[in-house]
Formats: sequence, C-alpha cells, structure tokens
Amino acid sequence: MNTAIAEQVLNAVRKKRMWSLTFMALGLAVLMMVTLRMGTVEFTFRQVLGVFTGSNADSLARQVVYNIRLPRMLTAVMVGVNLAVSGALLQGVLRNPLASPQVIGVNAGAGLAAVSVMIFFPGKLSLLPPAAFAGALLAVLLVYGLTFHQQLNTTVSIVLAGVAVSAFLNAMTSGLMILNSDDIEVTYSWLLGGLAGRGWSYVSLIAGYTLLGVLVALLLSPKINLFLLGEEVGSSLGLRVRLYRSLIMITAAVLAGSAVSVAGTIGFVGLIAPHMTRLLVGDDYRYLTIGSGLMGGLLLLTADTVARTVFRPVELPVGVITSVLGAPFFLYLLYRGRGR
Amino acid sequence: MLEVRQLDFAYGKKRVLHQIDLQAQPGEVISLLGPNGSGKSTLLRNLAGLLKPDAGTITLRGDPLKKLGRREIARQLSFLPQGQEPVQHMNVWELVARGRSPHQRAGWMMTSQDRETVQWALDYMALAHLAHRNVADLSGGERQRAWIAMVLAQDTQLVLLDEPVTYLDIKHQWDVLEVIQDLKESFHKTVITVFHDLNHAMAVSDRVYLLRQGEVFAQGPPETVITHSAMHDAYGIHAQVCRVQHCCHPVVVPAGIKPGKCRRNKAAG
Repeated sequence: MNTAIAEQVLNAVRKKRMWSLTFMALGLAVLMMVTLRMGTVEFTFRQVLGVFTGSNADSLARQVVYNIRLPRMLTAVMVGVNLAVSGALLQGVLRNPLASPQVIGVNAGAGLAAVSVMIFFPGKLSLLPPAAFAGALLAVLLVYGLTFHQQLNTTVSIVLAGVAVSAFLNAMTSGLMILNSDDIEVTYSWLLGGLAGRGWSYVSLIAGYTLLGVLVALLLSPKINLFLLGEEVGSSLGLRVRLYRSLIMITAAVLAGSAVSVAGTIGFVGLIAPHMTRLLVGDDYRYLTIGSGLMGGLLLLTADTVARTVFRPVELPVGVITSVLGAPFFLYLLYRGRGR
Repeated sequence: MLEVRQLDFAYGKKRVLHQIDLQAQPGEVISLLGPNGSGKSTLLRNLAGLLKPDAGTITLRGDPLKKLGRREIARQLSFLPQGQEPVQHMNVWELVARGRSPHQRAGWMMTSQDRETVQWALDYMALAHLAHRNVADLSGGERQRAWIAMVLAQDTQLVLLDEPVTYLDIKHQWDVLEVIQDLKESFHKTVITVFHDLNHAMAVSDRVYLLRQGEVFAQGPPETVITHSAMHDAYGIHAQVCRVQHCCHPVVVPAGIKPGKCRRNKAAG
C-alpha cells in the first residue's frame, strides 16, 4: 500500500471517530427522551414535551415526568458518565485493561462507610451519600498512600494494594452486616446499587462533580496518551509521571466516589464502557475520555430503564442488570482478544 | 553537549555506578559497552534524567540536568528504552506523533510544523506506507522502526538509545546502525547508545565507554578500547580483534572457537 492510500486511511479513521462520538451523543439524547415516556404510566412524546414547554403544568405527566423520571434519568446518566470516565482514566494511567474504580478501592471504601452509617446511625439516611463519598476517597488515599514510597510507586503495586485494601474493607463490611443482621436487607440492596427514588436532591449532589470531573479528565487526556507508552517513555517525552498520576487518580476517585455515593456500588459500567468505546474510537484519550462518558451514560440509562420497566411493578437493582449484561460482553471481549 | 562528572548511583544499598566521568561532543556517536549488570542501562537512565544520581553532576549544554524541568529536558534529549510497552489500538502515525508532545502546550492540537516533522520521521524510517497500520500488528523490525521514528519526531540534539538492535534480524540491525550513522553525519546529532555486539560499536562509534562493575574501565576510540586484553578483563572472554582487508574497521571474533573450515580440516587430518 502506498503513502497516499495510507493518508486516506488515516483520514477515514479520524472521520470514523468523530462520527462515532456524534452518534453516541445523539443516541444518548434520543434515549433520554424515550425513557421519560416509559414506566408504569406511559406518556406520549407530546405530553413529555409539554412538561418542558409548560403547557400542562399541573397534569399527572408533569408530576411523574418532572418530579420522578427526569431527576432519576439525569442521575442515571451522570452516574454512568462518572463511572465510565473514571474507569477510562484508571485503565490508561495504570495501563491495565482490568482497572476500574473497584480496583483502587472506591466500592469497598464506599460500601464500608455506607454500611457503618446504616448500622450505627440508623434513620439518618441523609448521611449516606457524604459518608459513602468520604469512604471512597479515604480508601483510594489509603491505597495510594501505601504505594507512595519511591520504589513501590509502580502501577502493579497500586493495583495489588487496591486489591488488598478492597479485600480487607469488604471483609469488614461483611462482618458488620452479619453481626447486625436486622438491617441486612436495606444494606444489601444499597450495596447492589440502584437508582430507585433518586430525586432532584441527588441530581444536585452529583452534578457539580460530574461537570468538574469530566472537565478535568478532558484536560488530562493528552497526558494519559503518554502513560500508554510506558512511564519511562512518557517521562522522556516530558511527562511528570508522579504529578499526573496523582492528579488522574484523584480525578477518577472523585468521579467514581460521587457516583457510588448517590447510586450505591454499581459494577461493570466503569470496566466495560471504556472497552466498548475503544472498539469504536481507538486508544487516543482525546476521543476515548469523552466517548467513554457518553457510552457510560447510554449503558447505565439503558440498564436502569430495563431495571424499572421489564419486571414492573417489581424493580431490580440496576447493579444486577449491569452485571448480567456486562459479564457476557466482557467474555466476548476476551474471546475476541484471543482470536487476534 | 553533555558532561558527566563523578557520578554515583545506587539502587537502595546496592551500588550500581561509581565515579563515572563522561563527555559527549555535538555530532558524536558514543557506545556504552560492558557485561550484563555493569551499569550501562542505569547510566543511560541517569543521563536521560529518569534516575537521580546520588552524587556527581550531569550538565546538558552547560545547564545542570537536575535544574531543568521534564519538558525542557525532553526538548533537548530523547530516550528509547530497551523493549517497549505493547501498545494496543494505536496506529503508527499516532505513535510517532506522540514524539511531538514536548513541543506542545496542552497536547490537544498539532501545529503544521508538528505534522511535517511526523511525516519526515515516517518517511525517514520508511514507514509512510504503514502509517495507518496498528502498531500491535507490525513485525518486530517494523515496530522498532516505528519507535525510533517516534524518537526522531521528538527532534532533539541528543539521542539516547538502549540496545536499539536487540531482537532484530541482521538486516534490521544494520538498518538501525545506518540510521545512527546518518543522524550524526546528516543532522549533526549526538547519539549515546548501549550495544551488546562489539562489532556494532566498532562500526558506528566515535568513542566507546567500557563499563565494568559500575566503573569506567576504559574509554576512547573503539580500536583502542576493544582489545584482546580489555575484553578479557571486562567480559572474561578471549576475543580476537582482526584487521580485514577492504574493511575500514577491525572486527571482533571469538578466539576460542575455530571457524567451521578449520574444524573440518582438523577432523579430516
């Protein structure tokens, strides 16, 4: 193949990436509108639009769509965005395809903090989100602190420390739950993750972190591109490895921590959304970060819509749906990788 | 260009480099030689600013290396370690374009000069027709050329290479040697490279530094350093340094192993 054709292929690759991002954004926008219609009571598009234009101010549609479905939909999208962007950042900076918020201790820390609140401060459920957020951040700080020493500050040590800290915290969570088995049901369903009953207060809890976190993640994306080449090469290309690794991990922890604090521990989205996006736009983080965010929003909104509509009136925790859909897809990726 | 004075370096308590002095002039090719564990790669990493020496100074064009920021260093010297990270989902053009990072502010946009330099590096390493191919799908030789093209796109006066020909077949090894020579002759760049093959060092170097147990055992033009006795003392080998007719530099062959023809004649006799 000669040079001119190579040039054409490169241009085609760039175009495909832009189109993929555009399609994901459009897909998400359409899905957001469609899910507002769906539920125990079905509405028409006209009714849903009327809620926004204010033509049916006091109707049932306004009650249901504006006060229940809209905040829940926005929360689902933002939780999905946060988890996926966080996973993408971690997979890049740790150069580990299995990295996800779970790996650096986010879920275990949030889980332990949340269970502690439920057991020691029963009835004070408003404490849950900030406690879970704090627990997630503390766990990540613990993992990073354990590996801060010069010779331990490698990606492998961080992953291993994350696994060890998570195992330890999860064991404490299980212990607490067994010893206080009266509260176990509430706790258990929180741990599975869910978006039921998330109103506007939750939207305001997470929105700031999503906006800020995604913005910082985008600014950091070109640096992650350098991490992909290995730390030595990255460093000799001008990357300040320790500084940017800390910044990227903190951003990932804040994104995932805020997601977990409003929705509980939702598995797999942070792991698979970046992988799915990678199939479409490649490993260039200037595209992958934003693409993962869109994909995460799409995935979680789909999963939540399935969770609240398919078995209605019974509602499944969305974490169950993401895992059930996520695990087979992950196996598909595995076999696809083998076939190469 | 680059000057190292009395450099000491240890991994924890294990002393790796001791009292190293080294100078590199503009447009000079310098090879670092020595047995495994003699500290060649560690020295190269110190020169690249990736490891901090415990004592001694490294100056780059008159500035102490430790005073320079990472990006400033990256605009003046490039470094290619031995054995690169496997990269997935990245085409050759993207890999080579990463070499422009030290010249960009945020890393979001490439200037037309960046693009020209990337294209030049691809053409120079004869990779333009592979620009769209996935790096993971290339052959070993092509992949090494792509990494070298990335280093060239960085466009630095000083180029540090750690065993750039390891794992390559003979043609690709010689291609890389030609590139090293051309970087010096056409672009007046300074190249410091680690070699295992003494003949490679003999072929391209202006000077060699022979390391043994973390110290400079000998240094100078390759013909004066690569001698039977120095090779014996540094590597513990019996090497024969031969002058060959029509060959501009000596070649090193094992003294203890007789060529096939000699062995066959002996058996027959």
